[in-house]
Amino acid sequence: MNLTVPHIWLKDFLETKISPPELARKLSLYGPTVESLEEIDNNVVYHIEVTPNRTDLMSIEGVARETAAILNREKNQAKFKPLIVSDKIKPAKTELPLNIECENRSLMPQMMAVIMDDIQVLQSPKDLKTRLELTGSRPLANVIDISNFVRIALGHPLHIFDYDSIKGNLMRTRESRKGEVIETLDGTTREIPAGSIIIEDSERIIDLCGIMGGKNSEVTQNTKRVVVLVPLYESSRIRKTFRSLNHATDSALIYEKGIDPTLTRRAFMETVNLLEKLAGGKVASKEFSWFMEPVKGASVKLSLTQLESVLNENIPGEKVTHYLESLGMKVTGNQDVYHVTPPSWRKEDIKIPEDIIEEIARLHGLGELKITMPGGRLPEAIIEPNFQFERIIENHLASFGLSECYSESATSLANCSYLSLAIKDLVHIENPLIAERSVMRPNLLCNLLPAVSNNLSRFEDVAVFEKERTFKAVGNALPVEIMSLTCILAAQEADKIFYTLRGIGESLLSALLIGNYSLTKSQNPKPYLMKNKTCDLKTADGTVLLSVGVLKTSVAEKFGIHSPTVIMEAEVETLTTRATKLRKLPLMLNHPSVVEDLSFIVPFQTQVGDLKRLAEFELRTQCPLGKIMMKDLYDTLELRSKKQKGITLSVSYQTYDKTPNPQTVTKARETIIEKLQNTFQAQIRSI
Amino acid sequence: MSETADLLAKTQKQILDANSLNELSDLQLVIFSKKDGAMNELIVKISQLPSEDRATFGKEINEAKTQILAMLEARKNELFQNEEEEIFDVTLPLEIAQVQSLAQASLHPLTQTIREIEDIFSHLGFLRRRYRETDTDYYAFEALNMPEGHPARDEWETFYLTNPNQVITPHTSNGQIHEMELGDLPIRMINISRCGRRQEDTTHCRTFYQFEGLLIDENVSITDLKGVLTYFVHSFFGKDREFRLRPYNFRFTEPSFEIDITCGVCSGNGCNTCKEGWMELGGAGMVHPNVVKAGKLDSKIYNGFAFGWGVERVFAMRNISEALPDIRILYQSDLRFLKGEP
Repeated sequence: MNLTVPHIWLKDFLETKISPPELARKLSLYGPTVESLEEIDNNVVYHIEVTPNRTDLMSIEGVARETAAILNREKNQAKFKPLIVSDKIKPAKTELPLNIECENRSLMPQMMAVIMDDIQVLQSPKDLKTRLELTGSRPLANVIDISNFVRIALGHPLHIFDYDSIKGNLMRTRESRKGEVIETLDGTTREIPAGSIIIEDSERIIDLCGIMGGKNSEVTQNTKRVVVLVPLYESSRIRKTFRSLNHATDSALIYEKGIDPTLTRRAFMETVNLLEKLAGGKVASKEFSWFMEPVKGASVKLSLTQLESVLNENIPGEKVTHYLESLGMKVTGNQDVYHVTPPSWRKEDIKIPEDIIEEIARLHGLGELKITMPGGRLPEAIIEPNFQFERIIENHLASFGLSECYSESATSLANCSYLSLAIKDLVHIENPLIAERSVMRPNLLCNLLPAVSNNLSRFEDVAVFEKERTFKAVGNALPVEIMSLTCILAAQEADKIFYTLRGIGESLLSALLIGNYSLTKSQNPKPYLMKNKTCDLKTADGTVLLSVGVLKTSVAEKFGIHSPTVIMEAEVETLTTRATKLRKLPLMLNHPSVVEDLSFIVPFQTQVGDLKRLAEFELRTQCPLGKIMMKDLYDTLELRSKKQKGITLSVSYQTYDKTPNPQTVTKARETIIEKLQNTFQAQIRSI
Repeated sequence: MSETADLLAKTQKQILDANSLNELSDLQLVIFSKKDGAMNELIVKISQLPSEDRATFGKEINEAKTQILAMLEARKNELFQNEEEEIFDVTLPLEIAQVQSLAQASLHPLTQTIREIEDIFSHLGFLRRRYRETDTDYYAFEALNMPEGHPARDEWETFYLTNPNQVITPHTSNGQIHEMELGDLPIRMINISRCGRRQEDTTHCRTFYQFEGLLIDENVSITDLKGVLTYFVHSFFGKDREFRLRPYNFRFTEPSFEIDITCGVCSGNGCNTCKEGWMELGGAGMVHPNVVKAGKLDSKIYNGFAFGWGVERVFAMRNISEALPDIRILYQSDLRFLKGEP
């Protein structure tokens, strides 16, 4: 909430010589924040941010009272001058008829009302007009201005009705029913949410309580008699009404947060007083009123030991008392425990010792408190290693040339459907800001592919990655949040970028020191990847660490991507839980190995990596430290016509203790040749 | 054979002969070309016909057009299928595979900022956490001293999920309760995680990051909060920056403060980018006893402080002299921004 306070109006309630800039600075440091200081026609106004717990500051009087407490925290620099009102209204000479009824007192737990006759609707005097104008409220006519003036001065909303427009001399407060409408003062016809508080006369609704009055009973140039109504309302209902109408007036915001009940009489008396003075009004009825039971002054216990501990400073008892009393609190007790009773305007706000400590801390000065480092023990919990491994992942991918992206957590249904993702797994947002962001992303591709598409209009190659959460619905339970990793390469040659990204993936695993994985064609590729061009890097137990695949052209086109696109995906936790920090130290051998090339002719569809893996496995049955490198891959017209291709493997024979002898080499070679023949129909061509 | 039938037959053959998606889309352009496409030639002929024949011929052309489009679509789907039939060696060893070399790239500025924050607080013994982005209403509000229907909830511009009582957390303070529930004391936590709010403009994104500090121990003082704050401000923004605490109100802290630091542009003298020399960093305070209780700890023994600030905000505050007119650029994955010069 915000309140605009003209300096001249503040001075009606406050005597001080402090200059406005200094006053603003002190308010910000010790009380409510002054957002800015503005000069309008030689008048200074303060724009004050009022926190929701301090409705008592939604009035000029309240701000003056707070300012006085702040300016007097060390030495007396200000005097607060509260508005003094008389106790009783003058008796009426003739009483005009009016029935005020309330269906249920909880709707309007407290109110005061009176009829006034002989009203002259005129311009307000200059002083009053200036004050209203400086707060940004447009002066209209004295009667209306008075209701605004009193609300802003004291912080209690009220309403003035045209008495002669009220039918049947009846004002009845009740709960609204479904489908009722009202035309409010601003000329808007509003459908009243069911359960709102309204006032009706014998024929129609005349007030949407706490929000805005009805057009049908408004004060006009011709008004001669008025009803002044100063009510309190049930806060939760006012809140519901303005929330569902999406129309928060100043009055509604004040009612929502609660009003000091002792203000009702003062606001009422001041309104009647001003109507008499400025509009010639005369009281023309008895005083209508009912009141809540006054809330008992519950005191809060404050332990000076606790105060000292939280502030890390010993504040003398008399200072504590001075601070609290300047805020209107009553302080009793002695030694360590004080009993503090908040004033009526702070009853809702001051309930526990911490609330009192806050008041003392701020008036003492937060800036004056010492600066220390927390002592005590350090936490015993162990740092989750995941974050360190995640850093390795991010660094690795960036250093291989993938730019890191962050995209929004929500995505569109269309993006999900382009990727043929299961609808039942989607987590829906009830109140999206825009329709294109109505589901939590089930996959990072949903927002990354559109980004790739945009970037391809400016860059020939696009290489990006993102690491963040994806979401999966689990019935009515909380969604599963999965930390996911997605890398995308888009460039001209699909095969080339497939191997590039797979290579980056393999080197990522080695950076995380994850060994012992296998590389195979995916059995169950994601619906958006080409099934012939997708592979998985899997652990021995079959868990997929990474999968790499080429995006189907039909899917790419839907995202407006016209370049071959390769995708690598992983669940981050699968990687980080398998990552290790300690690298196995390699054996440093001094004896040379035996190296030779083996060439084979294999069927064209052979997955050469599988073949190499089998060859290496067989080699190691004889030579435990043996290694195989692929040396050549070739196809000739002749081979192609027979649907074959040629490969050359460079085989390195090695054992732990010595260079393998010719018998061992021969045996290993024969095993390899035999197994490759049996499994891959590989024919040995040359050695 | 009529001219349209002729065209159909010829086109069908061309379509079936197209062996790649590129060929097919080239072909489509040729057939429907306004300049000398076969379809257009037929359309031109309509005007040369006697008027009584025009309608029939026009209809024929339209049908032919529909058929051609269907054939193109069918062939396209076939080629999509074929694309997946092509023999491809996914296992080809890298020592033999041809690879693409990639240009330089870098980490996202937010990652760099998050790491820096994590490191600064880790020196003070704060453990990094990452609590939920979607959470129950209980952790996001109720346990934080904002019961159902409380007006303070309105300030958060919260996204709700369609599941009852579930939200995208509008702040990282849900992590306070999760951390306390673990019951490991004392607590020094820095929860850096994603949040969401229903607002968007040049200084707000629907998705954003916050970092939430929480310290719970016995006899924790406001002066400890000031110490940690000083360490962070000096480490992150520089030793010359000062800060101030302003009284404020949050439901989950008591007392509550807002923290301002001196503006880096004008060194605290007042300029266009700040408020009289100060820039708002964010909120902090002493954890409200109700929140400690909600975390299942004894609020008579334990107290502490908490703060929650925006990662984008501290990033922007530090880069204010550079061009960051619209914070949303951070979430747009635009390589022109991400690949900036070092």
